[in-house]
Amino acid sequence: MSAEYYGAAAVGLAIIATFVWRFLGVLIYQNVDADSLIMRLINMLAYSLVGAVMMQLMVAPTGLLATSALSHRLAGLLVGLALLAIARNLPIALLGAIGTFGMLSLLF
Amino acid sequence: MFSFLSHPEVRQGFRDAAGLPGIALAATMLGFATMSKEAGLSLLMTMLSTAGVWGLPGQVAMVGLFASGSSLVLIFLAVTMANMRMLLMVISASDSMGIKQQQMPAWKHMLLFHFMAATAWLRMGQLKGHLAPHELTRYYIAFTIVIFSFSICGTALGFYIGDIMPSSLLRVMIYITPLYLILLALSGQARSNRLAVIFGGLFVVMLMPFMGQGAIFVAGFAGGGLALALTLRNEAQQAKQRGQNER
Repeated sequence: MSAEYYGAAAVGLAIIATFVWRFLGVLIYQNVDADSLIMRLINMLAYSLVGAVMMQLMVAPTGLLATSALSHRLAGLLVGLALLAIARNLPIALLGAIGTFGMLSLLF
Repeated sequence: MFSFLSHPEVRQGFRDAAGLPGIALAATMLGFATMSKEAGLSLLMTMLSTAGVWGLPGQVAMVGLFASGSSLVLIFLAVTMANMRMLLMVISASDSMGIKQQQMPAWKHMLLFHFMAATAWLRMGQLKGHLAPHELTRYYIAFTIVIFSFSICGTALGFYIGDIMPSSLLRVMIYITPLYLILLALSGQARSNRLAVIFGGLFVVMLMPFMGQGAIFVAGFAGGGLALALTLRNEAQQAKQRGQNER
């Protein structure tokens, strides 16, 4: 398979793989009662999965981010969490975390 | 068209998205496009993956495996696993927007939720209860139009200027997405949701050395289940206490 077709197939399959989940979500929603315990569970699982996926990207990334030090990524996250807890302001927490990660990456 | 724009929640959606969420996603997609170009994907394929997959972890998994020449089956499975959260997010957001009550046709529902990603979904969670379901739907459409447009622009820009940007800056840009989404999820009002995010994040770190990619599912399900169990217990205790006080 030529590189061009391989690329198109990879992207096409990635689109289908994601579409399937969204499509199933639309179908399943029609059969779930809004006030049920199942809906609450689904909501909690979604939050938990987002937390898990994002922490995995943070701790064990692939690609360019994998070339940065784990300690720098975690230091940025910890600063962000601390600022969020103290200042209760998302932009400030984000800027502090990005600044910490950026500075550490440049200096070390 | 003009009547849609006249709603205050639509203007609020545009305004909110054009700030931090739009910038964060544009920066991330800029970094993603650089990775994609390095891996050997064309501009068209890179843009298609942003527009069609619309979920960074899946896009990153696809590009990483493509670069290493992995089989198409493996690429399909990896993206399926990385983007499984879409299923739960679509159900949860459909509930927040009261799609059943709005009697929306299935094709419109599907089209609407093609654009559902973690940033918009977390924002919906924060606004649930503050806006009526139909207002929330309009807010979501406006919010998503902006973040999607920013992301497409970021992807195109990254493809062309990524090469000349220092890698340290690109790393920061890719770092923004997981960081931003973790902080956004933890800045929400509902304690139970914050608990679920914390448990999911902690469990995945503990389980990854033993389970690899599968850790996401186990951590996600265990974390969400535990958060719900604790929330239900808390609610039961509060109800009991209220009962005692009334007596």
